[in-house]
Amino acid sequence: MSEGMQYRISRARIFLFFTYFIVIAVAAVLPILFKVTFFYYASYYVLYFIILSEAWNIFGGYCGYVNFGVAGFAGAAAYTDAYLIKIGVANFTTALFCGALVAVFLGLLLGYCTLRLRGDYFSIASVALATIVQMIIISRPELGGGLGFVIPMPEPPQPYTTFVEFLFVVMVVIASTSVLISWKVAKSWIGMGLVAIKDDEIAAETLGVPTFRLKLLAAIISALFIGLAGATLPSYVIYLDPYSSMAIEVTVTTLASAYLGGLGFWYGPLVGASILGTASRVCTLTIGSEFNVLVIGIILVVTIMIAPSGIVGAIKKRVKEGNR
Amino acid sequence: MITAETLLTALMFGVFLGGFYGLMSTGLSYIFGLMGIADLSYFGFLSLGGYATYLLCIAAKLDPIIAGLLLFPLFFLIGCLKYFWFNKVIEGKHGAFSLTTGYVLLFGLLIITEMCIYVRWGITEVGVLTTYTMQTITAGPMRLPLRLILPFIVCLVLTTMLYLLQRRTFLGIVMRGLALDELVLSCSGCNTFRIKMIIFGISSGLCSIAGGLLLAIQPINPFVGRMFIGLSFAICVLGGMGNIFGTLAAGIFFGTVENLASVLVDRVLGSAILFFAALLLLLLKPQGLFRR
Amino acid sequence: MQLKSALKRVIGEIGLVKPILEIHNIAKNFGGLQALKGINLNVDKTERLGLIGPNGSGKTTLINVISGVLRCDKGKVIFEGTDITHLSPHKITRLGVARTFQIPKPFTSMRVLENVTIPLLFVHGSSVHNYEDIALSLLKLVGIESKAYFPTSQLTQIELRKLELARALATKPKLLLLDEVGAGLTAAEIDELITFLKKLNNEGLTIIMVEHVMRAIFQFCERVVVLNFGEVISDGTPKEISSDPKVVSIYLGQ
Repeated sequence: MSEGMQYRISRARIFLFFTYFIVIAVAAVLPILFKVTFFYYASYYVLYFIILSEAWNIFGGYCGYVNFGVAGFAGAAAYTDAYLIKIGVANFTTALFCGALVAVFLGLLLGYCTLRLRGDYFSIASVALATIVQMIIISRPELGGGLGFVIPMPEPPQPYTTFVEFLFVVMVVIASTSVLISWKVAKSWIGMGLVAIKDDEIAAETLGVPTFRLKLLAAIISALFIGLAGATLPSYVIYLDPYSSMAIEVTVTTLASAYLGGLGFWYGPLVGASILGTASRVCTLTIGSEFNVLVIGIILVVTIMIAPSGIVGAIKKRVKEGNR
Repeated sequence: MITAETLLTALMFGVFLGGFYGLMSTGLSYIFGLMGIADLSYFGFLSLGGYATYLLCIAAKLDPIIAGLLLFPLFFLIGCLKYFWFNKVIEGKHGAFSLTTGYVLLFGLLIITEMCIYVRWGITEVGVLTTYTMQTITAGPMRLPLRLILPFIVCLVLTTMLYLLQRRTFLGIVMRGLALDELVLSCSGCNTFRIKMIIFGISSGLCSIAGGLLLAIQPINPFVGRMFIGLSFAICVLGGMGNIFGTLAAGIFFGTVENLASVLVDRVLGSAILFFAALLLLLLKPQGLFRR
Repeated sequence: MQLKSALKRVIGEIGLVKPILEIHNIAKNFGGLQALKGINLNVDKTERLGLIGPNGSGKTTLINVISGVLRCDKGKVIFEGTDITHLSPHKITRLGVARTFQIPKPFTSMRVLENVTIPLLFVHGSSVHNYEDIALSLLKLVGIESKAYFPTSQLTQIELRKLELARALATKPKLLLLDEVGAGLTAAEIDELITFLKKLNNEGLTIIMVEHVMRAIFQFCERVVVLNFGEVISDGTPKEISSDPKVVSIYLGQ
């Protein structure tokens, strides 16, 4: 590798880590200075989908394995978190990680069963998984059944005055980490292997890429962050029910964010989720939630039809053509 | 108290419902089995078929089963258009698009279809009352509802017709050839685009019929198709892709297992058991229980 | 030449030098079509073996079974004493078996250079530090280093084949399985390829070449195995098999 390239890469790396810590620091301090509560409520939604779509992209964008069960993973994590808090065995952080672990377990299960078989089985099974998770939750009365249940709201740690401010910081940490991990995976051998698998799985396998293990790894990383996001949901909504927390709206917004921003780019979903998350909140408040989901579905379809590499891809292409 | 009578009735219910599952999965297996595309929008079209049948029933005071059958040509056309669009977006663009993007595209179509229905009708279910909605036939110790039996008979008839279409007609032979080796088929001078369009058409047409049958069985909501996603794929695979009677048999098998499980255990848990059974079977025998 | 192969056979009989590849009774059935019917074959180290036969005789199926892409129904494949029959392809590659594909399968999202970097990373990851340089040298070896930073879509068919070869060589194989590398090449290109392969062979690489182009077989192989309908019908030097009446009849249809 040439000296110049190495120098450039480490410059970028330092810049990225620097930005990461700055963003978290700013977020930590912000609620103390900027006291508009509405902002912290509204931004949760956007941050939620940044995490979900960045996580989804690791397996869906880099590797081409579409997970249609995002809502199921997030919902399972949410319910684990809520249940542990409700019965009083865990505090906020422990419950959070337990929820994430449940999502990882589901990811492992799904992956182990389907990733050795033909490519589409993973996608189809992921739909079924989401439905099964929802059904199981509805059928268990201790989880509130179809009615859901209320989570006791803990006291926010100092120096935050409301819990939603604390949650905002937590979400920013998770979101920034998900973007950072997405970048790290993309630039590492994992990312290269995943792209090779996407391009030609058989060729990759015969060239030494351990496809099954690598896919499983990507599925786990993806599930981890989806679970982390889902596990924060109970603390935000307070009233958790199996219909809104695991609605297909979650899945379609995640996919639409990833495609809109640009699959396969580590910052693509960040762009897509920021735009879509904000626009979708505005939509819900103005023209209603049903239209909101309809519009998201239309955006997904239209993006694939006219800009399959997303916004980032389209801009990159323009820049390349401009340079010629 | 679970009596033999209850079990037997549950079994028969399962068989009748299973016939419906079989037909519904056959529609899916045209696209999934013959063309290898996991078309999620099929389930949106199922709801669409149900609601379109409902509209026709209300407007023309028809029986839902008949209305569903009458709508077949319209849905056939919609299916052809769907393929035309799918091909243009996914397969046309210098063939560079992967199949999974196609899945996402069709998923988007599922969302759009369902949401359009939801926006218009809301979450409240719609249903039709027919002459036989409340009627039952007494067979020995069992009381079997006509609203299950009639759709079942229609399913059997249609399945036989589709089987004959596949085995006896030229179209059927060509479709099977498509499943086996598309390249060779197109080299033989066959217009594979048209065949694929017809396959999509038949599949969507079956959605209207299935929608009508479902409407006869029970009231429907905009998301009714979604419940059958996992089940249909499992039935498709286990029945042997493209094996029409195999798919029907697999459908009846699943219907019976599900119904018996929900009587013996719990309704929701019964469905969960069914899923796990299906997953297990798929793991053990991914080629299906029946021959292709 | 004949003395050398005779000597090899004697040594093999005595059992002093084990063959690099042993294929015991491999059978593969595709839903009614018996593609391989019990293939028995031993390949010695640094042997130049040709595998020929009419279309559908099972050549590519055999390659797929050896490289692990296909699972055989019966039989064993032993490479350097290790049973590789049920190993996944990437493990087999890491043991030293590389293959090319009849129709090149490049990684289209990446540039040519990265296509070669992938096997370097995954087969020899821990021991290699300067991937780019090694990858470039491999591309130079096959003659496409000028296209190193191009997307694969801008390569010609011949260049794609060369890329296939470069990628396979990047895995530092001990046994190389070539699936119809010669198809569509001109006589001069074939000669160039043969010279290149002979050089690799001299450096210790065992090569099995599935081919239809007889020029390549005759110039390169010291031993040829002929398959027909999944069975070995002839095994010998190129001269021997070309005068074997069984071989002649399957090609001329007598």
